[in-house]
Amino acid sequence: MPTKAPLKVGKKKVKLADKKKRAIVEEQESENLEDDADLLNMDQNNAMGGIDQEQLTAEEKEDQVIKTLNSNNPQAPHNLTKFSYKDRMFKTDDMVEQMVFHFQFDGDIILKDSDEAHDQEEFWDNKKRTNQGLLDKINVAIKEEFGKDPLEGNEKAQKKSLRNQFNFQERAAQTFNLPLREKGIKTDPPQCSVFSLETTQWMIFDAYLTNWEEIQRADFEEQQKGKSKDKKPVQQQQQHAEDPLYSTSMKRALKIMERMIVQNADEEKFEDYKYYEDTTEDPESHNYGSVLPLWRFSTEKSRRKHVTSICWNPRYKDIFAVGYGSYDFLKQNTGLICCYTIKNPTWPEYSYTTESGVMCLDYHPKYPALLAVGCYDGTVMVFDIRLKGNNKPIYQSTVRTNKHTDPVWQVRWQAEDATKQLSFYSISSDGRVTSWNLMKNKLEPEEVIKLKLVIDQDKELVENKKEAFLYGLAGGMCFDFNKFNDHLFLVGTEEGKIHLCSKAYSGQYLETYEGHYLAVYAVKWNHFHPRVFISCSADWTIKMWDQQIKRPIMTFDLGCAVGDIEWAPYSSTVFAAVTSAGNLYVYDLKQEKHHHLCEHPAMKKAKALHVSFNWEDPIILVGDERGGVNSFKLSKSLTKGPLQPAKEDDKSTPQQLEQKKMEDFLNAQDKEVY
Amino acid sequence: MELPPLNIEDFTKWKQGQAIIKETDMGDDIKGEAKDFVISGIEKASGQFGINIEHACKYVKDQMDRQFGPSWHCVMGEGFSFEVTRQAKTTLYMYYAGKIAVLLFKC
Repeated sequence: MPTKAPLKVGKKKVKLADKKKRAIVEEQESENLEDDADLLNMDQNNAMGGIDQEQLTAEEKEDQVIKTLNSNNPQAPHNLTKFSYKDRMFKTDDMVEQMVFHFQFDGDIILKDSDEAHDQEEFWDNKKRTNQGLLDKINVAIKEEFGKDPLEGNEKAQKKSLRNQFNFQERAAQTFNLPLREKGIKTDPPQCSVFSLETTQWMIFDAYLTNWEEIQRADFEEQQKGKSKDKKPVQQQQQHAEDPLYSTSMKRALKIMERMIVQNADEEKFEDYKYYEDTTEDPESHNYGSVLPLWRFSTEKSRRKHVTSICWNPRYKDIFAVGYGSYDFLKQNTGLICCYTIKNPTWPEYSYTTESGVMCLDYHPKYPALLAVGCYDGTVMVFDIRLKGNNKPIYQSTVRTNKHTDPVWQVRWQAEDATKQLSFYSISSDGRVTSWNLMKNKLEPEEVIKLKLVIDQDKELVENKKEAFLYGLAGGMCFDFNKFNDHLFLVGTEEGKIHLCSKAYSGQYLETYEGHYLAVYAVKWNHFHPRVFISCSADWTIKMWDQQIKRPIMTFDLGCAVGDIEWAPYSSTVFAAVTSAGNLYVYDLKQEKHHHLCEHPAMKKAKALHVSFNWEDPIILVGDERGGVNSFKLSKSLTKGPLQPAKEDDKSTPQQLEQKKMEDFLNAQDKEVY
Repeated sequence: MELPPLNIEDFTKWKQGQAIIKETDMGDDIKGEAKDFVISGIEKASGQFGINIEHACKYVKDQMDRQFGPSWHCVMGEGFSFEVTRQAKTTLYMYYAGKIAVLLFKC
């Protein structure tokens, strides 16, 4: 029985022989070649094994793996399986002969005295005997018929005749064998493909929303079907593919981008705008009241024009409109309206140009998109700033609608009345105060009052009474509605008189206040006190009045013409004024009775023409004659108010407290002096 | 045609029990059954503290293995991305209850 052991030994011997051979070759070569190193390396590489052989560490190589030697023949099959007809199945026999025969031969040599030899002898004897018997029978039959046997003596032939067709049948039999055929079968596995997606909550939400919309649309269409069959199918609007570079969304993004750049570039000012506080203020030493200049709003187009009016938007505290025109009688120019926002101080948000200089404008308090405008040529217009890309007013007064013949100095929106009709008032040098109603497609004028000249009683006696009317009408310069009595309004005139009028009585003045000697540029009711108002004039003075007293109760002389005044919206005793010397003055009557708290040059070498408080932030705007609007931040001492009730149980509102503050101030005045 | 504005309350209520099949190449019969398994699996696994994703997946996989032969795979989650090799006509990718994405495939 051959085992593995001798085989292995044999192999080792061969290897050893190889190595010896190689060593000899190496020795020979090393004598001839100089680069032994390479060969050595090669040898090392060989020792490391082939490329695809696992690299083992020395320890792993040292590890002993136990193998045993057994008597089984590895070449022998593991088992033998035969089909068993009895059991009608294949039977596997795990026990296999492990013996190996190199040569096997079965010979037919037998021994003489063996059982097999006896059996063989017997078999032949039997065969001989039966054949002889059969032959004899046949021969007898033949002799009876033919008399003699022709084959008598010929044994070979006799033997042959023994196997005849009557006692030896030859038959053929085959099992049915199916013809061999070769077939090929190939099975493909089910097709596979790569599938890749991603999931986020947004994608899920979007999928649900689209589905929901489809359902809603289906429902909606069902309803529509049931409701009205006779209605025409809604025409599909052709959607023009918008160029992304010029789309509205791009425009919006660019706008935001521009604002962000401006804010980053101008960050300090924006910080100041919101958080600056003057820390050097000290009420003890009367060192208070300062303003911090912020931005200057102006454009190339507005440089040669005068700022004629400033108006903050009533809804958005960062937007304001500026009207540009000219106060110079000899140099009249086209007008311009710019809407600026603090979000982007570099460039106006909207701008409109007009044929004639803009003299005044006003935002509607309830509809902040509507802008009323009065022009130098007497035209009043209404703009809607929502209509973009449209430079035209939505309403305009014409000669047919009885427009003013002289500059319109002030326009002011009216609060909505019961008929929901929008209307605004205007005043002009031609002496008329007109109310304009916004009808469906025209402006409907309505004359409120004609500013007749008022002649002193004494003069009237001296001169002819009729002569007074030769002068015509007094030129109106400004007006203001009382905040508490809707129908009361004040009118300032060119000859210096201020009239108190009512919407109800169109023909007459309720009261006339004399005190100014030159044109009254502005007259403003106090925001908190129903009877107090101030006026400013070209005669260098600001005067403060009580509605019930004909003479001014206070006068402030500023040394040059006062362009504009305005009450602060947060306090009853604070007001600001600008002068033609270019200075901004802020007064607080509570803190300083006769002197201004703050004086600040608004613009070098230019007249300051208009001033406007922001209604929420402590910001003030000053417009000058060079077409710029400067913004200032007011310091803490200038922005005291509105007063808050000190105690919890004090039920009075800030409004009442502010009114009381003004009342106290009035009572402290000696009215007889004025 | 203008649709009425989106009523967010109605929408959130509606999407609670709603399943949306986002992508599938399954046959109709197997699709319906698979969808039912997913829905019932999630419903069974959702308890007081939200949905136990592991249980839901196990349920769906077991049911699919029993019904349609072995080696189904089920992935659920609120946000994931994947790239799988899937056998043809055995993929189901759907959303359920407005926040769960389910990927079911065989390979």
